[in-house]
Amino acid sequence: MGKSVFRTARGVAGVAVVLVVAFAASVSSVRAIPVFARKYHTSCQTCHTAFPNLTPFGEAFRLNGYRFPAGSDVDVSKDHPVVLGAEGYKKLWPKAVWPGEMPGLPPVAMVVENEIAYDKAEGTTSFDGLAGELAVLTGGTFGEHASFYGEVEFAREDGEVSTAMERINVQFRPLASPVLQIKVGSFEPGLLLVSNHRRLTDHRYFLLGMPVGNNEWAAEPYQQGVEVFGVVAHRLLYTAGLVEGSGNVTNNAKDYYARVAYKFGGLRFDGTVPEGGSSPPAANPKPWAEKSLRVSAFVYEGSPLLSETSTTLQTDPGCTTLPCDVVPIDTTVSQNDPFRIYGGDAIWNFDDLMVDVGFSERTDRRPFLGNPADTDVKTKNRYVEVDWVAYPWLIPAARWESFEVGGDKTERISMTVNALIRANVKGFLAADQIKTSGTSFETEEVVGGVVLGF
Amino acid sequence: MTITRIAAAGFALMALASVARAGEIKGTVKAVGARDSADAVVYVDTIAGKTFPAPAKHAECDQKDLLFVPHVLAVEVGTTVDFKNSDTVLHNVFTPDKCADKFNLGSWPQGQIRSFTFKKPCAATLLCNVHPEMEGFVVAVPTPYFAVTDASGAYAIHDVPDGTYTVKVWHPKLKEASREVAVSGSTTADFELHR
Repeated sequence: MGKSVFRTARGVAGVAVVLVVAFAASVSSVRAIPVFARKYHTSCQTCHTAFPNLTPFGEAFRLNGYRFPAGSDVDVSKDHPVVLGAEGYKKLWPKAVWPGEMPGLPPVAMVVENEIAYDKAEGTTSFDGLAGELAVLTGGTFGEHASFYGEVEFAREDGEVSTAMERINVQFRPLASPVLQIKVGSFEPGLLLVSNHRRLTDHRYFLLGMPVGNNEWAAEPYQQGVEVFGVVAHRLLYTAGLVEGSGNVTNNAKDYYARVAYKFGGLRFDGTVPEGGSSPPAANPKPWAEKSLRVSAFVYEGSPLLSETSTTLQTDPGCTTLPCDVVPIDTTVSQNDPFRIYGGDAIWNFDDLMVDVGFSERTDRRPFLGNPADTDVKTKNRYVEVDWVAYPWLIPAARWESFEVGGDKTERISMTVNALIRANVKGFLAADQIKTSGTSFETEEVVGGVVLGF
Repeated sequence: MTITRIAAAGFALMALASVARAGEIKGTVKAVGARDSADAVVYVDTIAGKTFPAPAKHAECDQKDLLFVPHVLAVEVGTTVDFKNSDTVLHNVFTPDKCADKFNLGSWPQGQIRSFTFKKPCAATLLCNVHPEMEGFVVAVPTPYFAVTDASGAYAIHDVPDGTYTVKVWHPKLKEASREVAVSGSTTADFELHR
């Protein structure tokens, strides 16, 4: 029994490795939000190193519900919101509609991605990624208590255009401070300090999407649900969420997760400055540079109902007279796979250098459809990444990561050089090397491109 | 005749001396967290043992281009405010605040005026039920010594007799500030308001 399960695990692990590599190499949607540059009349570099990677100030802006921190948003915003009811109507509620506001100008921006890819295994070079993706982005605030983010993607592949509604969410904060915020809609669950949507490398993190057996769980590009998060005592970030999960047919139980993070030194999570510190971002000639350490830990659990329908040709079960016809019969196999992931990451900022390490351990109880016995398949993820702001416009990044399931281990080294041609135009050149159990590192692909946001 | 001239000269000297003693409070209000530092009302609070007659002259608040003009109107308690409609559309003025008796003056067309007398100290929010986005304020203060800041936050209250007073600052969106100010001639008092 034990050996049989192990063989099954190894077999499916191979499939999982293929899936995870395919997932990680798929369209590399990374997002900055030029809407905010327009709203505040400020450069992308106020919040980004090379977009979409965030500076400490950009992170504080995000954690404040897309607002400048410490109550200064009204001072710096160049937008004149449309008032949808004078504040005086608060005194009349419930006899009047609670007042609100919306952005004065349509908060819409676009990002165009162009890529040329060389696939070493196939020996082919593809221009399919030139003008391969257009993202329409929105983001902003509805007064002090609500904010929003939205993203619709149009991707072109082999002459076909696909449309995807990705992260679209509204955030509420009842206290007009970052202490308590509620995000509703589609979003990437806040598990790690890093995110595929804010990465510097061309390739995605294994850790945030790792199918095991038939459970194709991934934290990104988004999950649908509710997330509560906030910053307490300036430096403690907490997150808890209830989400639909991903890659599953049915998930009545829903997935749930929690994360805590703490930041030592540097600009605080809520964007406030300690006594004697420099006030960001204008007073700091290097808005990305600080000496800080961020640590975080998370746990994620779910019990999705995995399901797969296959069609086979069988003798018509309703047949009463010979000869019987052979007809296609659909057979659906389904079972729950209770699973748990725990992990964490740490980011050490030392001026122009950023070192990020992360890990996760995952246990799946029944991830293989057709094998309802408890198998407890263990999965491990590890990564180390180094980013370096060599010049304000030149930011190389390198990451080693591993994904191990059922004794099979996949390792990858991703290297990307990002060059800001302008603050809103980024060129990049990326290469990766991948290694599976029993093989040595081999170059998978080389990708170069230009991303333009406006 | 000579006695009359001497008496007149004496009164004139007394009047001059009185003017010389009247100082001013000036300075800047910094409104942290507001779009600019305009519309803060700086005023001398109730002075013990001193009362002031209600001004006979009416103040005016216009409704023009779907705005209350001025956005913040400061008046002395007892002042009657004339609310005018300069727009071609119908306007209404009402307040949800008890200190102004939650008045509702109804709706009236262009060119007409309706009035209300502010009998108590009050920061009354003005609303128009025809245009929910419109908002203005009448701030009725207990003394005739008050001023409204400009966009830079500057203000000046003239003809304040020398003495020590409680000076308060009210703002539509920020927390009120208050401090003792010893007035001697031209006196500077700066304030900072926060959310």
